[in-house]
Amino acid sequence: MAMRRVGRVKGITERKHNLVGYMFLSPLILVFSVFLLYSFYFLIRYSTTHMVIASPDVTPAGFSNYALVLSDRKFWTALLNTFLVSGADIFVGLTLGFLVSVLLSFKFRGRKFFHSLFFIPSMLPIAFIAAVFSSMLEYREGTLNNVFRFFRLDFLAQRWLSEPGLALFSVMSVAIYLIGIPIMYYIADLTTINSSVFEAAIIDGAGFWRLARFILYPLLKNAHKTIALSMLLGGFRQMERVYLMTDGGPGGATEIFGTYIYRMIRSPGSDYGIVSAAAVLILIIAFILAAVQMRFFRKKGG
Amino acid sequence: MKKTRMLAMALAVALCLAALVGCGDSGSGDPTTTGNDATPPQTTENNEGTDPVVIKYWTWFPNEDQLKPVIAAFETANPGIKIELTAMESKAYQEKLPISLSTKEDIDVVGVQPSAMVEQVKTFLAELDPIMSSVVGSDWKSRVHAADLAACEDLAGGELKVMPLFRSGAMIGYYNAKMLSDWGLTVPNTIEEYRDFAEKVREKDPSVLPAVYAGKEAWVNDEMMLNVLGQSGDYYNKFRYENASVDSQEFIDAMNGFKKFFDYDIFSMDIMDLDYGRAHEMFCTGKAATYYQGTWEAGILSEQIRADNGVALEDVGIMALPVVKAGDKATLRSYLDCTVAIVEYSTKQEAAARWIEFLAMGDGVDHWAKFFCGTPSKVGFVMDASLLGTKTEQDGFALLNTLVAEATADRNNVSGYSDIEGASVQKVVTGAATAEDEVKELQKEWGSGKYGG
Repeated sequence: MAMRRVGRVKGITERKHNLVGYMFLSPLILVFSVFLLYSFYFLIRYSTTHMVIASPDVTPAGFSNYALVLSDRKFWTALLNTFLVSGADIFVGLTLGFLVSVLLSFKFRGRKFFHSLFFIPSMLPIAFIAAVFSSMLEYREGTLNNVFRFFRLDFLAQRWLSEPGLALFSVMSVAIYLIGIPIMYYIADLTTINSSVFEAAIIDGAGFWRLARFILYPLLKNAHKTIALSMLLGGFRQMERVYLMTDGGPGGATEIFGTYIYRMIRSPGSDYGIVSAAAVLILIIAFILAAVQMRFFRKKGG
Repeated sequence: MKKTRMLAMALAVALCLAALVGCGDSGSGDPTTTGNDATPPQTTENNEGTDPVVIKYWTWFPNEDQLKPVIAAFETANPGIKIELTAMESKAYQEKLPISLSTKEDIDVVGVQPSAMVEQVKTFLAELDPIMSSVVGSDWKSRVHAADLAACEDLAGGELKVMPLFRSGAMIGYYNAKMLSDWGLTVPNTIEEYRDFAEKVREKDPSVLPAVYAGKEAWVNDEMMLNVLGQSGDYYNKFRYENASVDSQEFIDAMNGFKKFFDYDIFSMDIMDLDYGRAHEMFCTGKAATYYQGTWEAGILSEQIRADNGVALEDVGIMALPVVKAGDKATLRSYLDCTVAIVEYSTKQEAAARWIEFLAMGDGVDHWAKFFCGTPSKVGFVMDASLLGTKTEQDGFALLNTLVAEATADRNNVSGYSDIEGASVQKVVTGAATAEDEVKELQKEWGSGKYGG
């Protein structure tokens, strides 16, 4: 009886605590509901209609808009390319980002300078970075090819942005410039590791690579998770990188979801129903991916 | 503890209220721009006889700098009318205008882009003939090219709701006349002549490209291919207005015909990573002998405009894209590029008509046309001779006007589809696909329902 009363009191206290928590969260929930949930509602509702923004006439379309998008070869190319670009971002973040973070965690002269050097590009607008890369990778007058020519390595000068096989690789290469965010996550996580772990490993004779590979890499699993998820989902929001570097070309070879949607909507009088259907499909794919990835990491992390 | 919790709850409630207030309507907005208020704005003409009538004019083109002298000249000539200009970037304008008109925002005169935008906003535009006839005179139509007026009527489904300002065409060639003269080269008329021309350019200076265009941009590739299509006739019009198929011998020939410029080393793959700005820069800095873009770049013909923009070229001429097939016609596609209209619910239509008259068929034309944005629809327009110094420039401008007037097909593009078609052209010229396969894909795309086709 007494136990039950204690439990009831505990429950009431918990509910009160929850209420305070929800009250604090409510402004955010309100903003989220207005701007995000309404956007979802808008997309889902209009994805089954034909609608032109200036016209009051909205006609039902059933699932024909979805069928249209799913039968579009360019949609599947954009899906594949989005994965490839995100995959490159994740790969570079988890390898180069990790290594640079570990190196930056050592105490040496100029550490802060290098930290800034790697981080500053992440603060620059991606449009600016894309424009710089676009100019650097130009075949005829681009810096990269001119450097090769200067050292008489002309055979290395390639059509980085106009050769279908190379263009996507060039777009993906920008990931190297964007390791600042992974570095930030890793360094934040590195500070939480007890230094006695390293001391013990060093006493046991572990060198740099062993320390990095077998001690640090597993210990930073939370950072890996965050980086992988944010980079993957970030890939679905990308647009400027491809738009400014290749405009989705040549011949649609570098089209990603961002440019695919933009191209659909840029025509005056375009059918927002079809665009909404494409957006809903992309949203579903992103949700599924996020869920799968979180489940995967949860399992791996125990 | 209890006090702390109470304080926390009070703070949370305050935050909630703050968010709600922030999201709410302050109620102090301009009554003429809110919601679906169907009541026309109450500002009236000749209010108390002293205040000038303010015409709210929205457009994307000509831009603000180009329009300022036009507005100043109009206001001097019409002291009772003031023009309040809102100029936007083209894409933003496409998105904002239809919504603003449908919510009855306080606008009197609008620039309208042919052709999809006319279809979108025509229900909000006034019939021009009754207003213009009463304000300007019943013979007003004689002051505008009949073909342009007819095109405007077609755009609005048989009603004259938009007034033409000018036509433009694409693609047209600009050549470095000084370079050609120094190297003893003549302007090529056929693709074979162009091949020889390209070889000579490379012999003279391998760092100079014989020809350049913005190969990275899909829509520019589409324009180039459609130019070749136009050389054989008006199949583009048949495709656009009579449901003729993209999956046709005409389109296959046009794609393969355009590919020949690459096969003949006139255009090289080096240009396929150049965007609009870079292609233009290559020509303006003497790194390309010829350059293709729309007639809206014709300002480059004028020494004064070149000097104002830091372009060091001494003399520039105009040429048509050389013909691919013997017996075909060197041409381009042209269409109305900018029209202007009076908003149907405007209460200042008389003043609006006076502004339109000045802008489209009056002295205002001389002010904006000197920027070479297009071929004005005003009958009897003559370009300020001082802007075209050399004979090459004068002949070039005359050729431009002839090509625009005698175009074999309309440049009535659907911009979203142009990107897709242009990507196919890129595939064909880079050898990634055949014209035969691409036209099949394009026919599927055009008929998919995305473009109302």
